[in-house]
Amino acid sequence: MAAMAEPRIRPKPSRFVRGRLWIQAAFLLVWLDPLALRLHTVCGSVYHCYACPLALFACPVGVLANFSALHVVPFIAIGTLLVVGGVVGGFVCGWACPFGFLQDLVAKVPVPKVRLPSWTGYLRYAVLAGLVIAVPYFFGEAHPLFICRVCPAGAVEAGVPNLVREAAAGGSAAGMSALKWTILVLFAVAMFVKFRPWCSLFCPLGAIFGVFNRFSAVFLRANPKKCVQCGACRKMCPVNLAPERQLADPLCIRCMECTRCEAIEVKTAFGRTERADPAPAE
Amino acid sequence: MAQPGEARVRRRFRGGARRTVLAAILVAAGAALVIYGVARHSRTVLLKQAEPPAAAEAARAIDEPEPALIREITVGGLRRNPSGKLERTYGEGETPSLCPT
Repeated sequence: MAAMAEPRIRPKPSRFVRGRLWIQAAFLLVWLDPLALRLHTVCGSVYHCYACPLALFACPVGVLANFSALHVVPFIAIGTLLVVGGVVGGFVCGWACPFGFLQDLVAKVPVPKVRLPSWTGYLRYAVLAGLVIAVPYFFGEAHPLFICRVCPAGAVEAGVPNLVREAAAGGSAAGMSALKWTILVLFAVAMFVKFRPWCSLFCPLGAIFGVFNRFSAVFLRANPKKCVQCGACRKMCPVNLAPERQLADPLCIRCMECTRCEAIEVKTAFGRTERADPAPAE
Repeated sequence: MAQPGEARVRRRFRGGARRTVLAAILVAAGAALVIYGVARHSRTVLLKQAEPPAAAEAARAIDEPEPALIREITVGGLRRNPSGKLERTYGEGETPSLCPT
């Protein structure tokens, strides 16, 4: 009987992967508009509410939803998502999104995490089709289910800060709706018991970028010559995927935790990686 | 005749080339849309006015390019009126809402 091959797992993630939180923090600094440029004529590529007092760009989901309400085609938002998605795909979620960063930080709190089946990730497409496109198109931006009115990112990044700012200025703080407060509280609790609850269940932007995981120029690949089917990568995956066969899955946020296994590699479409992978000697 | 190993590498290379072409098409299409949106796409927006709009509606409309439309929606400054036209939600000299949501 042949001995089972040893899994090739590095003792710890690469320095680059270990520095992911720092890279996310660096991106956050950019999104928080430290130079007060307020480039709100530019559509961003991350989930960061434009109503935030410190937002550099316009939120692409907010732009899509509002343009849908206005019955106008958002060429700039679609184009921006195509360009960014075509180059990096889901890496935006894992490395650049400030809302994902917040959830990653909270996930560090050592509380047992719930793992939901990966099909629940398809709820994100219902949110995209329903709350971002259909509800605004048919009922306008005043509808209570318009995405911005139920968005927890908007509550965290814009609702609460603006409430504090108005209260500090002595103004009449109108506050957020009861629905938004409820969502904010539920979301705050969920962040502790589920890894990236918003991203993995509801995020419409993650749904868009997830599609690009199949086509993006920068991608992950499992090398079948190195994979021994040990299943170690599944235990490393925070979003409950089987990386050795689901690296193009829309749920993958490209956190690269699975690259601790030597069989999983980062590749670029424009590199010469395939030529560097020679056939075994015949 | 190609050896099996060679065929595998060639197949993988073709897969890589397909991804390269797809990614390039996506990026080129996206860039084209952004350029079109910035340079060519605009919509007519009615400005809010104190008097009834029937009198001077035509004179109080402006063409706003898409980047300006994006800026307006970030402050809740646009809506679609019952007749299907876009209009500002705030008048001249007024400030839009602090938080549009």
